[in-house]
Amino acid sequence: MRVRLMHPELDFDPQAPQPEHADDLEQDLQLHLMWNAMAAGDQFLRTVSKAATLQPLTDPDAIRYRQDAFGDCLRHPDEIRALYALSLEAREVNRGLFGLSRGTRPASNLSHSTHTLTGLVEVIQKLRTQCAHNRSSFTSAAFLGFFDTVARELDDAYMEELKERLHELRFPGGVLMSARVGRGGRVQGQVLRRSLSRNRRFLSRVALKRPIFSFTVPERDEAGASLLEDLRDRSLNDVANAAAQASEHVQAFFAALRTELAFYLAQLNLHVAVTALGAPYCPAVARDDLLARDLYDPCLALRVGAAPVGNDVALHGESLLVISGANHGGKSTFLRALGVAQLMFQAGMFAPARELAAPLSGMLFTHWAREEDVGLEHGKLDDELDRMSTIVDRIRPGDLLLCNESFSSTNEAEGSELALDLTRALVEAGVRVRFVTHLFDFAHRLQESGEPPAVFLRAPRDDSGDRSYRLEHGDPLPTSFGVDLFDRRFGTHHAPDGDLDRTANDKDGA
Amino acid sequence: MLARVATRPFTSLMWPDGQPGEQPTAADVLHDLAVDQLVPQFQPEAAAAPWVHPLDSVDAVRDRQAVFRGLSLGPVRACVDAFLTSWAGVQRAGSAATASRHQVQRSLWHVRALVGYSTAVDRFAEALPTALADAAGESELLDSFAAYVERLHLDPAFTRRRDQAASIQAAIDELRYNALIQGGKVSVAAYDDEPDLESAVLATFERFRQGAVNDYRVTFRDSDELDHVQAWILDQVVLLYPGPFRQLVGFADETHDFLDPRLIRFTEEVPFFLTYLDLLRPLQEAGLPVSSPEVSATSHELSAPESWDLVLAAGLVSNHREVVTNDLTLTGDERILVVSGPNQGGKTTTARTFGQLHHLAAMGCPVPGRSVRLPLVDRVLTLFEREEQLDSLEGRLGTEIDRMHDLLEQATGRSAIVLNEVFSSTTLQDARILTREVLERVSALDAVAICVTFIDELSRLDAKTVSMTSTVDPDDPAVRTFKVERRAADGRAYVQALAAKHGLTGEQIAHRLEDAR
Repeated sequence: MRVRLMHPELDFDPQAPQPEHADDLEQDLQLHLMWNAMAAGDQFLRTVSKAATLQPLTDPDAIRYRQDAFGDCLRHPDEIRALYALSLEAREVNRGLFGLSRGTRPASNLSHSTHTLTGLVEVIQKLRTQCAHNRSSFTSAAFLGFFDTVARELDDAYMEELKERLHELRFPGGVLMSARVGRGGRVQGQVLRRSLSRNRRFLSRVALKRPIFSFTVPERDEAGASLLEDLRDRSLNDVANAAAQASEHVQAFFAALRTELAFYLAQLNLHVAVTALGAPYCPAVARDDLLARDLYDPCLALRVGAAPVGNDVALHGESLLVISGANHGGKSTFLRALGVAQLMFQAGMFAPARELAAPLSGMLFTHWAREEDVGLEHGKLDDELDRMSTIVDRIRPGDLLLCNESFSSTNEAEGSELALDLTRALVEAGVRVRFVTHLFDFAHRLQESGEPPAVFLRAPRDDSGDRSYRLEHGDPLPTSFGVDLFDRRFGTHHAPDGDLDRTANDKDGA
Repeated sequence: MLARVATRPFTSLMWPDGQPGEQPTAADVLHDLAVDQLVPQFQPEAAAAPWVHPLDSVDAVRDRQAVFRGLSLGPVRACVDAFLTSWAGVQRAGSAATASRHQVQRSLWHVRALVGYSTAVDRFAEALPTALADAAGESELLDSFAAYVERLHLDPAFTRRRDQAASIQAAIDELRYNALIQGGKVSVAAYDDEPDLESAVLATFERFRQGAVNDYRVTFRDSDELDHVQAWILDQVVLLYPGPFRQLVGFADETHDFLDPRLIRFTEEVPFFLTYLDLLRPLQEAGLPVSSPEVSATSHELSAPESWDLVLAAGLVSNHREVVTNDLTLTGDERILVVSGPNQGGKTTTARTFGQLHHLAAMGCPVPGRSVRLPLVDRVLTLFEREEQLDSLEGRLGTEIDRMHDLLEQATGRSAIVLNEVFSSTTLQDARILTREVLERVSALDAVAICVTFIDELSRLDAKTVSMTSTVDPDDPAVRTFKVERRAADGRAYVQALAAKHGLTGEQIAHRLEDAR
């Protein structure tokens, strides 16, 4: 019996090992902002959100399965919360059992498990009721499938069986075991048995085949009583284990339900937060060409608490997108938007755009120019190359690489050469690359050669002076950052267009 | 080598020619050779006896060596190990029987011991001769032992008892009973094919399974003791099934003391061989050479290429460190190795190795070294500086001289003598005189010896002395190689190397002065 709310055939494992570069992704894309919004203060929701975001789906049907399920959630948020509350109640069953913690003795373990199972049977009963109630109003394959599973697997006959089993585990007729004559005559190979109705006699509590030989430990024989207790305990071992495992199975089922519902609850949280800003939010579709309208970075929007500026972009089969231009032109923000949207899309979540069609990729990698790269003169390029080398160890054809000002720790000629060779080699190998760069030589040579085919976006140097951050299509322009600075400081006019609206030492993006 | 035609009837793997005599090797000697650290691993007591009772004939040494070779064969070892494991179980059951006061329980243990013993002997008798076939009759002792076990296994008294025990045990094992516990009341009856509860519980909840779950079973310590409640249950079972138990008790009464005394002796002696082989195995796997030495009762020649200190190597190999080997040789008239050179360069280790080689060879053991040849000595005698005896300088020197005297009293022309840094507490002049004196006496005895001393001129005492020196890395004198080589002692090699490191050799100084002009 599987929950299967997040995938038609697979279980979701929030404890699955994260990709080794998860921390880089989190830091570079500032994903914690999104996860915090999804969590809305609940650490468990955050864990599930993080795990789901970092386990991209690559099957469009699986993505649509989640998107449809989320559609149901948007229409029936209260029912979803009620189901989630039930999964929490199952977890709380144990906590009500004061003084009945699992011990080192099978008898106390068994008693603990029997109590737990009794509590769980009540929760199962409620689950049946809720699922039956929801059956008619939901439409997604995920939820309908789950409701059907519950109705089928937990039918009336099965509920009767559950109750009978729990009754037997309380041993109303005593503990019956079969055994052999073991080493030195000890009772060995005990197996707990269910007594046969043919051996139950009128007026006798002893359901055994005749003849019967019996003794009673005298009341004053305390040692004997404790020895008998010990023997009983040893004999209960396997059944106590079975009962404990049974209760673990049931708990695991509810834990799986809790986990998968948490993913949708977290999306509801994000949906509330994003739509409150007036930002668009849409289910994305898988397509070979990239087409985005009003694509924005939800993390930045959540941080500044304002409606974001969206960007449009279209790729028609090109594997390479190069974003060039002056600093503080919204390049990094746009690169983040591309990355976050791709992760959300492939987690089966809605996407931060008015409209998004995107090719499915494998794993996402980021290579950001880092603060530490700008530290010691000696070794910073080393470090950058080292990180890139680690990425190249792991990246595969079909994966997506976002480069943000890579190789800017060296001079433009060297940096461009490195970037050009690397980019061409990766694209040739089938990796999709999105490259933000102020290395004019690099961007220019790509554009001149047309090898590989690429789309170029440019940070605008508009005259209005407002920070619209809307990127425009266009060929790379010689960077004028230093000239800008010089111009402003000296009042000269070496920069093209003579525009001085940017503060030169202001950091780009967030 | 002379093959003995008549096969002796088997008595002992260790002492086929009778028990060793008195006069065991002194504890001091084992301590100086550091092998006293190994002795406690040899259990039971009988398995440690060879350490203090070296053999006195070449034939006896060869017998032992052959047993070692046989037991080092995988299949032979495997079936001996299996036999010893079963034997330990038989012993446990036997002592449980002895300790029990409940008649049925005692009989149960007794029959269990007997069944275990019979099975062990049967399996051993079937497996050992096959396993030994690969040894191609190399060890006459092992072959005669295998023949002995086979005879035992075919002995009608043995087989009759075995079959009876097995059928009685099987009858008991077949018994199935039910016990119903209701409060303090226990009812016992025949098992009636009642279905089991565990699988019913598991089946009911199986549909909830999401993945692997924990094992909640509690581990109980199994005791062989039958407490009084279980004894009462056993009494009910006896009432339920009187026939099989009557047979059991009757049979146990008829079969006392069934263990064969020679097998008992075998199980006490064979651990000597196995423990020693186990000690060697990791060292051999680390690439250290081991050989069955060729011993001679007449020659004094020693050839031990790539020899090493057994005890030191055991420590180094377990820490994954390299073991340095040395070549020890005495040919022709040579009798005494005089070892000098820089300190902590492996001199004491070399002295120990020399002593160990002779002692281990006389125990009939494989020795640390490649294709070793050496004399069979009547005893190894050692004199190591004793740090712990610090009463007074005079007292210490006195004790040392007393011990030296005793040593020379015991030594014969067939002894091996190990002298390590003797007389180091006296003046150089005195030490020179005393050591020379001792070496002259050793030389006169015609014993073989190794002498570690800082008085390197003693290596040129006479034709019987050979000089060996510890060495350092020529490129970096701060690095010791632990290599002790046969080389004239000049006392200057080390100083030369140090000087070279600092550019201060005569040649270097000449060049530097020239360049400075």
